[in-house]
Amino acid sequence: MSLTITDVSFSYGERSILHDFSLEVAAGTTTAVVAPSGSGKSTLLRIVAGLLKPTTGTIILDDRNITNTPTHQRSVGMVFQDNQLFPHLNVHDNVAFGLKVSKMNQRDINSRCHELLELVGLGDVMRQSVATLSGGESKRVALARALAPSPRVLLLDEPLTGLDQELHDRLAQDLHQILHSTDTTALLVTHDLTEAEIISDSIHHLQ
Amino acid sequence: MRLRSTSPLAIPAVILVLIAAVIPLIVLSASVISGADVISIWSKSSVQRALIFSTWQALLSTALTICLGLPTTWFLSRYEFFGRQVFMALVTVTFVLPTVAVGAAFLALLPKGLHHSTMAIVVAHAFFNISIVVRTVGPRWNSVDDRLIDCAQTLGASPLHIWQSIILPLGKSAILSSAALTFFMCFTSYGIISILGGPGLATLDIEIYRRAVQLGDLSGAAILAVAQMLLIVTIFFIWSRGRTSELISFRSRTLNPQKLPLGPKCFLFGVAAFFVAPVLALIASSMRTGRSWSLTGWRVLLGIQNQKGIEIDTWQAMQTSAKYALIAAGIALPTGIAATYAFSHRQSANRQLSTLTILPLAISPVVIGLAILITYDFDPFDFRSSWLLIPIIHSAIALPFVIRAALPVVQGIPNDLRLAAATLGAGSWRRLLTVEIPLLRPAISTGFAFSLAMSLGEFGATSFLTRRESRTLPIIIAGLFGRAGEIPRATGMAASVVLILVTAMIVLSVDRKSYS
Amino acid sequence: MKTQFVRPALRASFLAMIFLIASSCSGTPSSTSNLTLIAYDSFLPPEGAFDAFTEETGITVQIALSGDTGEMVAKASLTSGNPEGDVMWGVDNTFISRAIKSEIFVGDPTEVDFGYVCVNYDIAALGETEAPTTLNDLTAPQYKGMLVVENPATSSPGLAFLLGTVAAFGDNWPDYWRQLVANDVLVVDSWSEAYYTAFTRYGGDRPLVVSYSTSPPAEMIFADPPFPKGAPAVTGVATETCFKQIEYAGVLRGSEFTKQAQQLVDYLAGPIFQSLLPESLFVYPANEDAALPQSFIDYAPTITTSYSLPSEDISQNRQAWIEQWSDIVLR
Repeated sequence: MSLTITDVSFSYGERSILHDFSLEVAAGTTTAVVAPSGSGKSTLLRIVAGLLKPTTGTIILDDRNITNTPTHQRSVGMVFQDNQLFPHLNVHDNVAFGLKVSKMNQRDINSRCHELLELVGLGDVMRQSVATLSGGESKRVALARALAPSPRVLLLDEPLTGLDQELHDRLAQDLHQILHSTDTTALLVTHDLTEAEIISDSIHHLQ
Repeated sequence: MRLRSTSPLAIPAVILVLIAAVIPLIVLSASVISGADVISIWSKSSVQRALIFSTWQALLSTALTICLGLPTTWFLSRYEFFGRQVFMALVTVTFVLPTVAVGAAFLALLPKGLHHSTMAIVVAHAFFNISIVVRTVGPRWNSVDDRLIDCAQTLGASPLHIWQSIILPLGKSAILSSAALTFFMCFTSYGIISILGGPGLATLDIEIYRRAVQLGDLSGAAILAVAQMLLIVTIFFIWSRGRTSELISFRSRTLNPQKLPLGPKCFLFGVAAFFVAPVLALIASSMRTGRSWSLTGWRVLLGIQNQKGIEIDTWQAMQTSAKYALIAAGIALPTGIAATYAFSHRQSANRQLSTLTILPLAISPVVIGLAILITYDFDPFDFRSSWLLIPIIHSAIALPFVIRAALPVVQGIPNDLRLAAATLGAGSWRRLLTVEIPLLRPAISTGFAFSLAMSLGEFGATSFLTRRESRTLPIIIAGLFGRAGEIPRATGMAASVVLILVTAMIVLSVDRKSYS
Repeated sequence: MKTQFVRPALRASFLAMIFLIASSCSGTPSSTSNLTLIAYDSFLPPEGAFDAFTEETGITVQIALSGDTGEMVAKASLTSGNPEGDVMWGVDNTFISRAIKSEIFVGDPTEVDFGYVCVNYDIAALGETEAPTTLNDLTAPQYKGMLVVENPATSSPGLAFLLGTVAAFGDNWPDYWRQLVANDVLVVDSWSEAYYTAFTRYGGDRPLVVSYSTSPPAEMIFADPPFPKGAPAVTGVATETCFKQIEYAGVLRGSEFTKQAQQLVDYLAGPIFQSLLPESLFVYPANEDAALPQSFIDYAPTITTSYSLPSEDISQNRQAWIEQWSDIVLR
């Protein structure tokens, strides 16, 4: 499973945000795009996810051109900067959300949720309300939720920003390990070079 | 750091409800109900018919209102588009349209086959009550982060699935609130049904009026009024017990500047047409006398032309209406929002108290009028000749709307913010002014708009207590529609247009910042 | 923590309540120089109608509107002996016996005006068809689908028309109504709806409507553009379909100013006030000394035969009649 971004441009009216951007993420690897804030890296992720339409260029996922495919049919997972956990669902139901959509039966959903939450180290908070979670726990739930439907590519938007140093370092290590052990193809955007070095296999600098 | 008890905040609201509804009804019941009627009244066929009809038309009306109201609310609370403010005002203004005028407009628009049918009633009820949904659910949905929906999309959820699993659940308590209010507005509907429904179709409220006024059967009327009140309170009680409020942080957000897609645009256009058509019909008939166009109605209304036999002072009526509306809002807003703080706390006693505030809506205005009359008739509480009674009753009627509009907002204010303000050294008054009130702004403007609209359009209780020199616009309109001739009719139509415009202007000016 | 915020809000709410309760006690009570006249909500005599009374006696008159006649009587019966005002205007013969039974008046109320509830017709819409005159005409085939009446349970002209048929046909009135139903009579809830939505003159499809014998002069006075002098009437009255409504005024029992209140009643029944009635309330003055305006002379038909019923009968039977009527007419 590989992701190929070719000559993608995007502009808001007159303002050009991305210009002829190309990048390839090999199957099973993690690529980081490192750039300062406000340089259009979130825009890039939103384009890959299908939440924005590029002005020009194509997105190819596993030899399939998905440039015009609606988001919900792309099979991309995304971890948002501030997690965006569903406030009305508990931890288990947050993780199960993408599985329920795919009409999986309840037993398989439960075992998959369990598996994922164990993977991110949160086996014991299944039934808790998401409002009671700490920052690190929320991040792990968001990751588990994005991974649960086995997306073909995982998009990470500044996943560790705003966490304290100790937690930040530990989560970066964990993230690297989890992505590797699940053989996930992932695209990470961040402004933090050291974070990118720990998590990803290759690094791309965006001007 | 938790609040020990917010219950005292509910006291003013409870006092208002007790004074304006509960105590008078008890006094009236004690003095007119005769024991034998308590059972026998239910065997009357007109009572049974009214009970059945009230219930099922209210269910149907509520369903249609919610179905039309939810998509409308979503687009209004999420997208910025040309004419959005006007649309919001339009939706609220329907609340105050005098039923005689709207009834005529609806009859003009509906195909003949639908006249005097339940269908006509249901459509008109939806027209009148969509603003409840827009106003109650709107602030809630407005605070839902766009990225939450993006996130659901990346997890594979289709738009339909997002509605089912994210948008509806996040608005659930507000939707249920608005559905409940709509149901009771329709259940106790009076004017619409008497105009569009025709004589075979009567709600319980109409039956109560008939018994009290036409038949002089006060005992029967009081029994039915008490029964209706108990029924509504019971349903509300059960309703509010089963609900837990979701936790969602309140976030003022700017509206989506993106263009509305074509589908929603068409839908909104259709809804707008549904609202504009009766108003246009009204404006047209205000400028028509007999078979020609004429501005005579307007000239008489504005005092430019003197017409023998029509004694109206429009400016005075507008002033009186505005005065009552402002006082009513001035009472309903602080009491309602204070009470909301008490009810937003998840203590069961408080939540059950919140049921009580629905009472003023649950009692027929005729019964309230009669009851107040015999309750406050002794010195020093002889309020009967006081004009303040009118805005006080209006505020009691507006109270449930203020509370239900404010509840989602108050629930959404994070306690951390208050704590943060406190650590910065803000005193309690300053905190109220600098932290709470700005955060409450959507609730305040919604509650204000609702109270003004309720008061400006209220007819039943007002007509009971008016003085000749302080008639409100609805009273003047009813008077004009009560006599024969082209000029009184056109003047009445013009007065209805004025009522709509005045309300629209007030609502627009209050409302401008409600979602920003 | 939050309590500190709660307290000021609470204080503000209480202050507001106390202020309101305190200030609401300040109504304008009646006194020897100020009387309160209670009337139904369409009681709108012209500006200055009481000037002559004030000049003569030094008493000013405040008018309290009290809903429709039924609501007014319901209120008055409840507050009998401790009334809201001193004089009541406008209890009609369909309600007067209830009012008397509830002892709301001191002594006998005075007759102040009268009018007729009759079938009106739209002259233009009838065209070639001859206008109806009697109640029996209304059941004739040429008037099928033409008549609109008001529901007697919710409308006072509707009740008056029903009472007229009871007076005319006695115990056979239900049969008459069955014939009206067979002739496709339309029933609506209020006079406004009958006249302004169902009647052909205002865009409806019914050329016959139950209204007042004074509606034709009102149509002429309120025509826009105005008709030239001597123009023919646009609506007419079926002169043998009328029920006579009489309105009374009286001093309310419990008023502290009975003497002054009686002066006011006398003024209401006197020629000055009475002559204002036709063109403001569209009723006939009870006082024969009051002159009729030209519009009434020209356009209000003279009603020579009208129906009426003793008000005790009305009071005793109205509920039963209305219920019986509902069973026949409303399915």
